[in-house]
Amino acid sequence: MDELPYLTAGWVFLVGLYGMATSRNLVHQVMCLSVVQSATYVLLLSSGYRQGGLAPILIDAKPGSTTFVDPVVQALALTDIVVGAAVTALLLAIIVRVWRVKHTLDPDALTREES
Amino acid sequence: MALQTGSYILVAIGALLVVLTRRPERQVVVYSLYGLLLTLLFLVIRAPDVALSELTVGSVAIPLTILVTLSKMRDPEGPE
Amino acid sequence: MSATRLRTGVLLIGLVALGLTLGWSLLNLHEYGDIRGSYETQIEAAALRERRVANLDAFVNFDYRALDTLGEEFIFLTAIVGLSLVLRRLPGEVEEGQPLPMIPGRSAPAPDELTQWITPAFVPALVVLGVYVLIHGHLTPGGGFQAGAIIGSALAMIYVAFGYSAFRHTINQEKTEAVEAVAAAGYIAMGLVALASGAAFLANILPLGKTGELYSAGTIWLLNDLTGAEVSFGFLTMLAEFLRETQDRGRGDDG
Repeated sequence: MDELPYLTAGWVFLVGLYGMATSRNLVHQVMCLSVVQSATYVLLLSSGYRQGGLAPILIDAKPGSTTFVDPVVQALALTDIVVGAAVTALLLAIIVRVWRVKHTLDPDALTREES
Repeated sequence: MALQTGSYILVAIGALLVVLTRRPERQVVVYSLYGLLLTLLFLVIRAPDVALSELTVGSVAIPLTILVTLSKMRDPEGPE
Repeated sequence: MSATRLRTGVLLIGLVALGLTLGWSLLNLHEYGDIRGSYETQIEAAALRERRVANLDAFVNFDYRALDTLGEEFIFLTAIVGLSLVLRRLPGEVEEGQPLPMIPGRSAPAPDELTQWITPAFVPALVVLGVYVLIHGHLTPGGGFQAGAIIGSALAMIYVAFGYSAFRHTINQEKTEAVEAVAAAGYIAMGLVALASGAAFLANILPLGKTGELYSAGTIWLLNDLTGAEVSFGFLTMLAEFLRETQDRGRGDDG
């Protein structure tokens, strides 16, 4: 099952995109965006995995004695997750503003009004 | 190895469930559980730092923010 | 509605095309578990030999690629600033008055006794855990970003258990914004200090110490702590900003 990790990442990405595009509620859309972001984390971490590698914390290890999984992609992913939360919060603030003015959370209704 | 396969499959199913739950109040709970599944996956992939991040952010911080947001958009007619 | 059907059809075609392209490209990546590259061993050797740090992720984040972390931190800061901007009081909205317990038309649930009992026990423990994760970030899994999320979420329990006025009394929003800004500026200041001392921007210039001790690995613990302060106070600012909105705001605008 060697292709499973990458296929999972691709599947989660597509599922999240589908959810975003067919959503009828802005908050639901924001959470689907979060799901799409999680697909990128899965892809990053899967591409950094090494068979038989350890977690990248050196505890009483001499350099070169054990192999580790790739720490660079983990470093990217962990900052990414927290920053993604802040961006989600920003989107939610915009949604609150939109709701104040339009009193609807339906993306279709919001676009219909303009035409 | 079986643990990893199982974790990947659970994440795939979890993502589908998050997207298929249409109402935000219910989706928040499913999303929180999905964060837990992701944490499990990241642990099994030997990424404890990322797992810690995902646990606090995906299961606590984001659902909290979303619930606070949802509580502000209550109205007699209700958001739809 | 046929417009929706049409849209869904186009969407599915697009998703299938994207899926095929993604599948083809992803399956052409290296075998899962078999990284072809040598920089992991280089980083591991560099971490232990040159910097005496134990947590490789923290090492990458705060030493080798500290500039990227600066960028990420500022994305966070910008998102919080943007959030405050979007939720600011626009002309025509009411001034924030007394916090009302209830807005007519909305019913608040009764405060939960169990939550009120366990919160005073849990919140200090969680904050201590967060600080522990923060300052041991270069030794064990953890670091600035994780600890910031832990501390921010822990203090949110005060709101959940005791309501908005208790949260407001505990968290002063001006102070959290000030600390967040100062911590972010401190990160840059640390980099400029490194620059002024002759090394590169954000280079590791402090004494290295012994591996495994709290004050080892040069500037890593310092940048780590500054980032942790920035992220945790940023989360608190974000929460305070959102929660401030639940008071009395909806009365003055267009309604």
